[in-house]
Amino acid sequence: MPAAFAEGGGNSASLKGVVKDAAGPVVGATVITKDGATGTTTGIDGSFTLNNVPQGATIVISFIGYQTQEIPYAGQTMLDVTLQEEAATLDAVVVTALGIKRQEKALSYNVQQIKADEITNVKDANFMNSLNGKVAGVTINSSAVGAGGAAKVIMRGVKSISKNNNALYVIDGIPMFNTTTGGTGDSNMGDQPGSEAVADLNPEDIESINMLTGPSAAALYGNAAANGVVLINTRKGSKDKTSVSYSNNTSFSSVYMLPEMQSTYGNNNGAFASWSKVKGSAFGSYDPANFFDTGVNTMNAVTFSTGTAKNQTYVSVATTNANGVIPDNKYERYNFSFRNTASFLKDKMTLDLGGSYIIQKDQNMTASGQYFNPVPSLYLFPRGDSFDEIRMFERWNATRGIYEQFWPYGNMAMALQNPYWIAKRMQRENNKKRYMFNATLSYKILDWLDISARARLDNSDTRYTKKLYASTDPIFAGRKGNYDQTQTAFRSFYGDVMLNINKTFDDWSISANIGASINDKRQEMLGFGGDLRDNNNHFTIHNLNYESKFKPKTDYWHDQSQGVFANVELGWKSMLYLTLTSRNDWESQLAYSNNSSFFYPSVGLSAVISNMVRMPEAISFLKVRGSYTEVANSFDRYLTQVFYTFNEESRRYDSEATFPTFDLKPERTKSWEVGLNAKFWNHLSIDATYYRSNTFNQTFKIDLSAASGYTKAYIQTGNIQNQGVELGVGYNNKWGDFMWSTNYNFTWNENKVIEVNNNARNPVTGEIIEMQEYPVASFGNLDARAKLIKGGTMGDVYANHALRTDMNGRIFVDPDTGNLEMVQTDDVKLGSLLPKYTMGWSNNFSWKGIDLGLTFTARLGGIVLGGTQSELDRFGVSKRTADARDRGGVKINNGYIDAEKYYTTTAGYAVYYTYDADNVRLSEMNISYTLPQKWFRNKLRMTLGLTARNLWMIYCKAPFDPEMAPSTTNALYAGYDYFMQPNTRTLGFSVKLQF
Amino acid sequence: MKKFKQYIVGALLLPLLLGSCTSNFEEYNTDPNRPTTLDAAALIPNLIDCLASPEENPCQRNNTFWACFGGYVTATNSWGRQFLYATYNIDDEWNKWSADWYFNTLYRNYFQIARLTNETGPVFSLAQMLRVNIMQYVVNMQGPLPYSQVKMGTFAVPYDDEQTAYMAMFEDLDKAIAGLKSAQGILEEDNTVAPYDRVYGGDYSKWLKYANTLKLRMAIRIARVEGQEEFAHRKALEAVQEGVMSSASDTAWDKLGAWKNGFNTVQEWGEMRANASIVTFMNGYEDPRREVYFKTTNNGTGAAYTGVRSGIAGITTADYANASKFKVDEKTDMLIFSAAEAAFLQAEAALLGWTDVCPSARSFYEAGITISFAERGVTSNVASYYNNSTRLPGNFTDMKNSACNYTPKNQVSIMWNESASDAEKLNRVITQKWIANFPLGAEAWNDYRRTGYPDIFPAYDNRSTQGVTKERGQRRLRFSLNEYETNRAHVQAAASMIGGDRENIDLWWAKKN
Repeated sequence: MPAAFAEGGGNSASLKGVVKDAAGPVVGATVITKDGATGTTTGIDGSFTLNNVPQGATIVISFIGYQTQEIPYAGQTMLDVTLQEEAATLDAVVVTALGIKRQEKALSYNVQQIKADEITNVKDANFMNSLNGKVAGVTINSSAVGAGGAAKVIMRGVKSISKNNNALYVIDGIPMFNTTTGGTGDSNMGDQPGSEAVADLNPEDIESINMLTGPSAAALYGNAAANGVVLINTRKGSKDKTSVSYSNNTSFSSVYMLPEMQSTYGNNNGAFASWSKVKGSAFGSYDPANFFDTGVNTMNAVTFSTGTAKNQTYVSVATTNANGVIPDNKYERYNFSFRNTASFLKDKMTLDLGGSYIIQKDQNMTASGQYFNPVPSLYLFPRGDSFDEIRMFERWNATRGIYEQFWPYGNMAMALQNPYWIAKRMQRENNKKRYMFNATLSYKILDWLDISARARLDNSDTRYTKKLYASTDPIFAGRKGNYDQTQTAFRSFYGDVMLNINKTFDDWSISANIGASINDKRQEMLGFGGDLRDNNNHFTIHNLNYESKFKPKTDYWHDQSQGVFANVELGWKSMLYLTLTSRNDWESQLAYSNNSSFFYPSVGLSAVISNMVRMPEAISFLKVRGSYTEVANSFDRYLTQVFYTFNEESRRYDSEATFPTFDLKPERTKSWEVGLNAKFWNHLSIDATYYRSNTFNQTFKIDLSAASGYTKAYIQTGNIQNQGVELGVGYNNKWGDFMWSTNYNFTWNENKVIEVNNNARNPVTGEIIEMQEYPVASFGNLDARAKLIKGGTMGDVYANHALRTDMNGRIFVDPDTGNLEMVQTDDVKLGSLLPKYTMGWSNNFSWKGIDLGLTFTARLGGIVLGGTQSELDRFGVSKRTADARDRGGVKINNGYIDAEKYYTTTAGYAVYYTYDADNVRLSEMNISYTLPQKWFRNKLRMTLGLTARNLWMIYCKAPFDPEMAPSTTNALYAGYDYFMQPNTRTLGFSVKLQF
Repeated sequence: MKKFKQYIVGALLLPLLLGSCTSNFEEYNTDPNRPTTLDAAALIPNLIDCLASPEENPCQRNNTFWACFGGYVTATNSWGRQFLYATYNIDDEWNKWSADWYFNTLYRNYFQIARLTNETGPVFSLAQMLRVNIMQYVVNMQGPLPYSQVKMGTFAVPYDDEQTAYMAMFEDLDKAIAGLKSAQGILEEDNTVAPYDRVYGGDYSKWLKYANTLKLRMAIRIARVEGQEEFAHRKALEAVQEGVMSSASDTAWDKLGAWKNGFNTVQEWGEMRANASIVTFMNGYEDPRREVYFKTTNNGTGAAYTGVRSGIAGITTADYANASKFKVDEKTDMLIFSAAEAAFLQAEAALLGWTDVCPSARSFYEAGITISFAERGVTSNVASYYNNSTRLPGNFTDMKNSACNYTPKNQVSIMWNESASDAEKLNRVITQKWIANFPLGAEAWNDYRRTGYPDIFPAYDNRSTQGVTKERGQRRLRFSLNEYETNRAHVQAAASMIGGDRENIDLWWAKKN
């Protein structure tokens, strides 16, 4: 009504328009007359309506991170503005939890943005590995399985004793459940770990990534966001422009940092261990490195982008084909994606549709341990014997009519077999087909109010097969071989509806989202496995021997969570913002417990000091912020009832070994953070955050006295604290054609077990449960155990053996036999497996189309355990056992003791195999050249590049790469090397064409 | 404006609609593959698992680790460790597996059977008997144990001293026997345990004999304990009057079901071979059961039975790979309780002077050997074996290291000699019982500690730091480390009951000297 009246008045009117940037609408931009008489902010689709605009007024359109525009008003009714990004303050605009752009100044928590080229410059089959060292507060460990393996992404320290500690992935505002294939990798004798759902993404489809290291996004994504969030924004089609791009990245990887081994001393006749005291082998020197192949990873991607003002389309196809360094290890992936964004009903409604189809196959992924891993027998191979014999890994047995494994040594109780046989005749394959669809429909009810609904489907089917050929060691297979075939179907659906409000009244602005969501996940597994019955090496279910290791396998679960949430942000004069969130979740895991839902709130405050007071010229921007967040979490499914479990091996029902507990409460993390963001001279930026989080009421299993009849009971107790600092310093500047941008990030995290047990009680009798400490992990071949003890950290490792010493502290040598004696001692703390500080420093130089990127990473503090080194010593194949033999023994008590006696006594005892985990490396380097476009008459942009990863280990005292993870699912099983696949150094080239 | 209000109201109502959809949550949180109730009899196989321990890892732990003290089996690997049962110096990490596994496997199922049967009926009686049977392994391995006060839901259970535990076990066994008696003649269609009973196929008359034989075994065990003779005599007499196992068909074999023979698996790993003790005795006696117990091995001069000394520090699988294996394959039944033992127990009762229990030691001694031959399928003339008075165990000669050679003490011939000393008679009975009981290492170790017979070879290397001697061998296992971490006050009280938690401490019924 006022607008109509105003129009009648003739000299002031209502002005409508849309504010956009190169990528689309800009939300929350300020549109104001220069005199400040009237103003508004843009809505979710970038549109605004400005009332009572007087003729001749100057309209000022501003948004942080963009150049402010001033446009004179001359009676036009429509005003479309395209803002230009302000290069120096690009980071000031972030895509937040809702998948829409927000002003950074309003945020009360830390968000760090990564641009697409950070992950496409030096591509990895799993793009998450490309982010290592680029974000403060995040620790990314690539798994030792090689190409396509899962990455361990821990933000602000490990919090949970029994639940997943990995960050949540959110794609275009919708959480993705990160399923993993294969085993957990946290045992020396388990299945090998595989890939993960997030590794399926095509890095070319990614527009940008934001890392929310704190739990602040939990109100919008539910409690899985408590571990922090990796927000992935995918590419859309472009407006009024058609472009095609093609890129190829080819890289070659070779093993590096193999343990130091020897080939001068062979084995004594008939023995497996290489403990000869005579130098030289009849078969020359032996170098285990020759076993490994050069890994080749070829990634091709084509993207196509087109569109009009109303409709944009994006299509991409990508292939990834990788061969690992272990023979016959492969990873393949084919990605097909499309996305269409359309607006209609006079631009009041927009529909965004996306979909992708992924075919992913992997074969023989191998991380560590002694099962399915050729590395142990490769490294321990007797140095006096002929490895050429071993290369003929299978030999014809005319009686049986099959090729049989050649390995004349037996398994040495370590499952040793011919390494080639393990690599080629113990085939494990995953074949996954996955499709994802997402749709977002939004409707603008009023210029400050819209409603949107989103849905996403993510379904995958995986077929796993394991083919073990006849003559594989009986630990794994019967005489005729062993076969396993398992199908796993994963179905997930996410849906939400949200009401979005974006309104400004005078000095006040309000931005609110109120919504409800549903997250439904199901997984069904069905499989059969066992030894083969009739035909050798005929791998089919019909050939399974039902009487020998036959396992019928089936597993089903269905989790659903429903939530309602509200997120309200109040702004005052664009300088003070208060954010309140709350969420209530109903989760199916709580069924049959005393609680049906739980509630968690957060509050945050952000103040832009540089807008409040006049700052010295040098300070272009200064903001301080603080927030407090609570997140509640439900415990695992199926805990609230007594079930009888099926034992696949004996094929009958057994009773649950864990004492049933019904009175369970949701667990809770309380955290707060304070921080500041500042920019100086528009070139230097500093982001600093201090945080502290405490996790209470964790549900975990404790050991029970065997006399209770149960091995474990659930208790809910404990208080794990993480506190730390995240610091990011960035600088960029231009001098003529030369540009330098650099970013340094630093993380300090201190993990502390405040309380292991706050008087947890037996739910039946009320007796206080005795528990001074809580064992969380043991490390295979070493006597080390990780335990939680009040005052310690979650990564503290203890050992309890040492060489016997006499009264004077000298090592005891038996006067009769000359033997050393290992004795059991009280627990000795070896250190913590958790890092204290991590750092990353990345640099980009560019000059006339030439770009050079360098990333250094460092980790300080903590220890690692050398399980491999222990076995190499035990078998006399490590370099130091040869050095000791050269010297006449190992020096103790002012004399020398026989090397074999010393090393076979100390092997297996962690006090002798604990190493400092500190390391500094040049983790990534790339150089690229964009050919002058005029060479191609401006029709083509062509970039050629050379890339390198893990180029130079500058400092490392451990005998293996301390940052490689044997397990990505178990955060507490880290820093332990037991025949881990060696890390690789990767060199490659890339070609990028854009039409 | 009106329209706008509708949207707002609609949006706010949505969550409420969603909220009311949580009625499926109970279904989602119920595992479709795992039942919440079960036929109690379906859990009986889990208790049977604790008798012969067929599953590969429990078999290795229960039949080849500490059970090497029984002289049947030698663990031929040291897993790179210096702390082994065989060298009398096991560390806490491995020691805790011994007792804990029995408790855990038994009780989680026993509690459920008690719950599902309401502690009545034949399935419960069977479980009650098996509980005593299984806890006998533990009480005889470590001494005091939580028994009479074990209850579902009690996490920290006080220990019973050995006498209290034995009395409680006899009491439970008597109740179980009464229950099994009333199950005799149960209708086939009411016999729910039949499909799950891989020992007797649901034949309660056999289980009744089994239970009485167990009672006889327990009675004989405590017969020489000061002040217990009268009680033991009464219990033995009750057992024999109720009826103990008497023929080869009564013998309890684990017919395995889906399991494989655990000994076969472990020896295929290379981690066990036949023990020098049993092989030496049987070689000396030219015992025809050798060919069903062991595989021959070529010792250079032809096929022979060759054992390995237990307790060689640092032994690896390669060292004695050529020594004799047990003659078992994947599906060979595993012995649980031999009917021959019943005869030998009665022979010992006769030696105790309990003529009402057993009138003639000689006839039951010979019956024991006869039953043993029959249950092992040995067809050669048994009388010519037990009437041989000349063959003796002789000497053991190691296949590669003469330092391992050993000559057993107290060698005794086979043929019964009525005029021999009581000690020699007991030696004879126990020695033949030991051969018949192959490969029940737990029972052999019990008899060795109780009577000192036969002279099972001591560990080649004694690495004990707790006073274990080669002369007497290890006398018990220490309590589980887990108990010190989760039930500390009670386990400390238990240690003081026996004068300390050490491996050289004699149990209640052990021969003291």
